[in-house]
Amino acid sequence: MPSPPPSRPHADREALALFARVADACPGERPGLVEAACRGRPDLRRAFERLWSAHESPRAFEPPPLDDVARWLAPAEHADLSGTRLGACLLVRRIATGGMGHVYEAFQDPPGRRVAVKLMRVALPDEYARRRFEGEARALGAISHEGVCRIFEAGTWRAPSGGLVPYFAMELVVDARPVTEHARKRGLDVRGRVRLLQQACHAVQAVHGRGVLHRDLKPSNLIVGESGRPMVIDFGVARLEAGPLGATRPGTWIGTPAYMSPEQVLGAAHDVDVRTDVHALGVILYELLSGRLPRALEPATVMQIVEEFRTGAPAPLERVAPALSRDLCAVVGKAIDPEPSRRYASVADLGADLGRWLAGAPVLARPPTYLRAFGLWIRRHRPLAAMLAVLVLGAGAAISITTAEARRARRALALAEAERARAEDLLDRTRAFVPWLLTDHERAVAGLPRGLGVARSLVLGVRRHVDALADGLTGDPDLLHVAQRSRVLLAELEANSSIYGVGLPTEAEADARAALDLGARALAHRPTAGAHAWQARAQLVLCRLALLKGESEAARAHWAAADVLASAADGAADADGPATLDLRLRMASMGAAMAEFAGDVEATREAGEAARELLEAGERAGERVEPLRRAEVLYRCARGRILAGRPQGVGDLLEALERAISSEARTAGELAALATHYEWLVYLADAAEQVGSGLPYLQHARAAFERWAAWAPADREVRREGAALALRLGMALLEEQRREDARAHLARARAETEAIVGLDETDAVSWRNLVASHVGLARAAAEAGDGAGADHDLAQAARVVEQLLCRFPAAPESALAEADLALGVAAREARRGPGTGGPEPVREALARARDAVARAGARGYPPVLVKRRLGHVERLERGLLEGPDRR
Amino acid sequence: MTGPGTDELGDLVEAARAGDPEACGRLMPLVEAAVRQIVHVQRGRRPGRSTMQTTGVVDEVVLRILGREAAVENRAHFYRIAALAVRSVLVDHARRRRAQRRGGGLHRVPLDDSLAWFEERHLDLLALHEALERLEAVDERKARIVLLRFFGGRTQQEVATLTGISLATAEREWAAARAWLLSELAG
Repeated sequence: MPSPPPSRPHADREALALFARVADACPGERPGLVEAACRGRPDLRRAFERLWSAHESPRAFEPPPLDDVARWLAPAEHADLSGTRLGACLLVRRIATGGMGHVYEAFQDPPGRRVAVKLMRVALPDEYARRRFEGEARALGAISHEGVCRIFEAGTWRAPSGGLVPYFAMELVVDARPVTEHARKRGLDVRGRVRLLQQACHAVQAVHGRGVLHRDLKPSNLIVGESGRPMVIDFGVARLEAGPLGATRPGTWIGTPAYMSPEQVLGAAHDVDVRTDVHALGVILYELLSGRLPRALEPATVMQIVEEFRTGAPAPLERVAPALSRDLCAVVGKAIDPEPSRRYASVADLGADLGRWLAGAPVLARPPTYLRAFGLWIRRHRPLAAMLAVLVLGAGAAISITTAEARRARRALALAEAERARAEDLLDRTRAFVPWLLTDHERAVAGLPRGLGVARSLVLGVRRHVDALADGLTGDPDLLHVAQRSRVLLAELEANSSIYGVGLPTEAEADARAALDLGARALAHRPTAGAHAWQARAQLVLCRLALLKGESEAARAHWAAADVLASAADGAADADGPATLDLRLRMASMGAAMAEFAGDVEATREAGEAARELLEAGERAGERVEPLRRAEVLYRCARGRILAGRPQGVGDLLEALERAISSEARTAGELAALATHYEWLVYLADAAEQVGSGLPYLQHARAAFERWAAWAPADREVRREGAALALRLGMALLEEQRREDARAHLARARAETEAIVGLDETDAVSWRNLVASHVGLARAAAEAGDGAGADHDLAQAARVVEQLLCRFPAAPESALAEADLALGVAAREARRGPGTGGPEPVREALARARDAVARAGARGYPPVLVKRRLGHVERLERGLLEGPDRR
Repeated sequence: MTGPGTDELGDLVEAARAGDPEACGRLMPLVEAAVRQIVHVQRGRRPGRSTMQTTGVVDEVVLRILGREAAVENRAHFYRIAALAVRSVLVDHARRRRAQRRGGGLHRVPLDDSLAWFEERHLDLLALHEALERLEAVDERKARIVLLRFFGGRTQQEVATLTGISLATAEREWAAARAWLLSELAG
């Protein structure tokens, strides 16, 4: 290539100006213009003439059509890669090409099996993204369900273009077709189609149980192979696809518009939850039943799609397909309701309602009138109905009763058996959830943010089944035992989900007592170890609730009752009952908690050590302990040592705790495990703060938080935790006189909480954290000698408190925020120096703080935490009034 | 209002233009993925249409990357970024190919079609790129207009609106810029 001519900006500028004048002029005037301008300027003339001849040349200089540009930017791995080896997979032939990427049939060796390999279309930008991708893919690989496509291997392939292209090796589904196509090809009837979708619900629910959302369910992700069973593919892939920036960037879409929900199109990432997948399944069912989509997205640019979702509504299925059953249309309508809160709360609920429809039972989506219900009931129980008809119509046909009776009995038996199997199945699925919600009685706010709603609806689902059977239970100890267990699980869930505020502890207590009643009935039939053990767990729930209420006597009584029941379980005839070690460990943990509540730190430590010894002895004896239980015991033990001021060996305990958590994360669910780990470390920091500085634990907690946040969908709860943690870190650093670090954290906490309350004005906890951030910043300013800055921050805090009082006059958070502010004022007053009011303003502020804490107590803030906060006020008082010369 | 992502994106683009490989790495997949997915979605929805309506594409890229709120306010800014991104992708590829042609070991990718497109028109993309950089020093507005039209897929009218000039001016500027670039390319 010839080297470019040297740049001559000035002459060029002149030539361009002349060019503009000449081009504007009539052709006749042009030569004169040029002559006049270039007189005595051969360089300008040359430059102009070059321009003009280029201008008149016919050379093509049209921009490439954008369509072509888009094609050029198409995925680099376009070429057929058959014969290439990716990891352990040898690509055999390409079987599909789509928007998501390319799918190959491949042979994975080892272990020597046919798999499908999908190459994604996004190249990963860097090593970090690659590690994250592989981590997430591994977690998805842990999901195993017959209706969910297994991911065997994931990795990245260095494309010739230089990009790192991620790929998955997954289960190969032979002759896979999208569910809609399968239904058409097989000519399935309505029931067959509904059954397909019901099966898909089971599969999706199983994955939701792991805390993973699909986000991009559509017929091509719901495939049916030779087996005739639907299989969900690409679970969690939508999120991987979105990539490191896309996943958090507001307004970025992942998904396919036709199957997307309004919250995906119009909302932010944190609006997406299980109900988004409910919506997509509803749309697929709509399409399966009518061959159409509920929304007209035909002429769609993004703007038009947004507009359709903002102002349009899905076309009612009953209007599109009038021949369909009204109940079925109602189920679909409920699933695709634009308002998430009006949809089914979980995919399990949708599946259950479809099951009801298939069984001819009334659906929840369309509460039946009595008459219709009776009609359905007759269809379900023809023999019994026949008998009823006989009874009602007279004795004329009494002869047929005996045979009808016999058939009815057989049928009822089969029905009960089926119900029991379903209840058991639900219980199994529930169990995967509940442990996560059983973390700690000190959980101050609503429990595990995500998953709680799902877990609750699952457990309530079990309860509905069990309640439906309640009348028939008297004679069946197995069913009684199932009912007992479901009640205990529900009680444990409720006791943990909300320590104060929503009135759930009452429900927890009612459920625990109902469980005890059911368990007693079961035991009256047959004293099994299982029934005894679950009775003990119910007693432990009551123990925990008593502790929360500050009734330590009652707590001790329940614990003693649990102890007796646990011994009975050990001595029961059926030796292979549930793991009694698990129960003993639960009891030991609770024992440590009771000692702590009683204020006996030495006993707390001893109980923690005893729990650990129990654990170690059990494991030495080869007994299986759930990782979560091991983690809980290690946490208890660490806590005891910290409280007793003897933190030797806590580091080792924390390491073991982390190992237990990651093993739990592999087997049960990463999100919940990581969240729990983070929370426990925060609780340990709480404990450490009671005897000294919580800073080291907060720093551990921060690392745990970051691991959790890296996995968790970017949602408000995670953000809120991050802000709260920044606040705590800031306060702890202030205590250590590390003012600059403290300010950085506090400023972050302030900015984040401000943003959070801007998004959700009803978030009282964040409002309170905002107050505390201001107060902390005020203290940092005051300590740095910036009195004006401190006053400014306190004034801001006071303004927020006013808003808080106005919004939530009766919430404990308002009172706690008042207390925070009063303490900030007290600290400020104490620092004003001599001759400015003396100790009186300090005393006044402290009294206000005490009043406010007491008010919080009266509004349901747990007594034990009230006590702790009052202790804090007292310590501060001593510091401020007795040491006026302190800096 | 400045959208949350705009500044970051702007910074990224600046860094990418300054030759920061990490910024390039982060920016390109974003723009590429957005362009591709939109093209895919639109194709899927309009069966039988070989050529998609191109005017909508970058709008959609804007929406996807900047979000709904920022889109309206910062369109001009973004179009420039998108066009810069496209230019940078094409130029990088042309450079890489030129280097590989010496080394051999070719593996066809769709971006190669861009080389063919320019070759058919007897345009040397790399020379054009360098000439455009020189034009920036001489007359920034003309360079911007070329960028928007050539790599941003904007029509003359859109270019006028985005740069805040009349259509007639935009046409004059384009003609002058074309003449200048062609004269540069002719050596």
